[in-house]
Amino acid sequence: MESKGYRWSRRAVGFVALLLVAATVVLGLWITPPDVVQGQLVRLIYVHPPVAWVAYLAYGVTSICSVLYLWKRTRNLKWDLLAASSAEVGVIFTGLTLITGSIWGRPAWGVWWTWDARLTTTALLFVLYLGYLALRRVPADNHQRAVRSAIAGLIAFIDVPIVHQSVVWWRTLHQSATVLNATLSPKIHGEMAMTLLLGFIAFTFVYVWMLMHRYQIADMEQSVLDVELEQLIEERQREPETYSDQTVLTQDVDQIDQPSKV
Amino acid sequence: MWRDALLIAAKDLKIELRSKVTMNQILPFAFVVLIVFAFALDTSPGTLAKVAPGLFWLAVLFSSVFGVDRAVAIETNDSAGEGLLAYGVDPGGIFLGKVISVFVQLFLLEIFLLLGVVVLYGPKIGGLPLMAISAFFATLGLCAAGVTYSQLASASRAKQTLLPLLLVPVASPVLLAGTKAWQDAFSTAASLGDPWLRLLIVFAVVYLALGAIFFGSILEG
Amino acid sequence: MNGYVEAGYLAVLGVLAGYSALLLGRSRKMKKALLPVKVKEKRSEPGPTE
Repeated sequence: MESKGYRWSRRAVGFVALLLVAATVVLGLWITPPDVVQGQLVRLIYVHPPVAWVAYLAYGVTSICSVLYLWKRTRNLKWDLLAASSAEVGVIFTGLTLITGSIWGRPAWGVWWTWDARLTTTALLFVLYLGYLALRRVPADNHQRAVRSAIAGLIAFIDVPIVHQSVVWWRTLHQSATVLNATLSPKIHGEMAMTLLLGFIAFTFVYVWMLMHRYQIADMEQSVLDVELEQLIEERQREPETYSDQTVLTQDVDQIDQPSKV
Repeated sequence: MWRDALLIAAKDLKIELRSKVTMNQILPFAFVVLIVFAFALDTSPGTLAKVAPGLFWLAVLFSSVFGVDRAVAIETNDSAGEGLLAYGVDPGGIFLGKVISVFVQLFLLEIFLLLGVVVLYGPKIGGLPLMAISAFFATLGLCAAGVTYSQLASASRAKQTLLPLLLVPVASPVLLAGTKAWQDAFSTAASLGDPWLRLLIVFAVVYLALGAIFFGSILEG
Repeated sequence: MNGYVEAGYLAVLGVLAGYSALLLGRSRKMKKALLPVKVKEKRSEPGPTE
């Protein structure tokens, strides 16, 4: 169960995240000046790259947790639940990266989508981790699911540079300046740079809060499953022969058999 | 490990010789795919010839999904895979055996499919050494990644829908690199130092290693 | 501004708020679901003394 310290730190992180996001929005939409080249459109820079950064951070966390589960010395079901939680949050942020990128691309490049290397990699990443989450929904016992999804998570992460390299070569001739290059350019206004940095921090806090919350839910779901299983075993040992009990048992078994949502 | 791998491969190929699933179902399917591509695109001369390498590799990718699914299903039905482990067969050997068996089937399918592409789409083929070598590594990579993912998805009751979702994004570099390598082979600039061929080799080596390392854990876990 | 900027910010804030609401809802549901389990455990304790 949730400890008091965990609950309070989660609330504190949530509060800070809320404040920072509000500040980013206010600064990004109203305080910072419009850009010389991009005009008002530049305001999207305060949300799009930070959201993309969080997506990569989340997948990084998933991979580290997968390794920690696969390594026998650090094997603990907690790593598996954390990997799953981080992947789910990562998929949300990857989706947002694609949406905001598309919204930005339309006025900036005149198209909703362009076959740029970074865009294509992000789209494939989105599908890769949707697959990872789908694999997690396959009913199996805890250890089996944990091992399989840890391997899948790890392979997906190893695949990312291969995918990226292939699409970079594929698009070499059409490569246009991508968003991140613009942010790294030294010409960026001081106020704007600060807001961008704030955006990175704000969305990272949002990620941490979501991860803590999602992990908490996964942990509770897991303990519900475990308690149900313990009760089943207990009931079976205590009264093995009454007819009415057996019908109750089969109902319970059906419930446990259902795909878990962890 | 290698002895086990050859035994498993021989067993699976014997099963294929008797059941002829790849022969009678997957190969005809690949041909149908070639035909419906022509419906989806344009039949005017030149168009199909130009995109022929891409269509070929797409048809191979689709076929490989069925091929690896079939190879793993042989063991998961009746929990035969657990039996093999209980006999002391090396899990890495099972993996390599499956890869070899699917590889042989898929490579033969590709030869037939290439004949179909030449007849139906009429591309100007050339650069045979580059074509053959890139096809070899592309197929090897596809089989290695495919067998691994197929085993990962095998516990699912919905594995027919789960496997393509897992495998196709992972294998997309093979589709891309295979297509580009063949385009290079068909053009005059065919050389064995082709960067796409290098990518195919890296992919095959990485997935063979990953599969050999993890296959045992997937089987037991 | 120009519509696109607003749409971008709305999308980010909307999706994140929606997901947060979903998390909070699920968390509340799970906490409720865990409660009856505790009650059951307490009830089963006097079992052997009967």
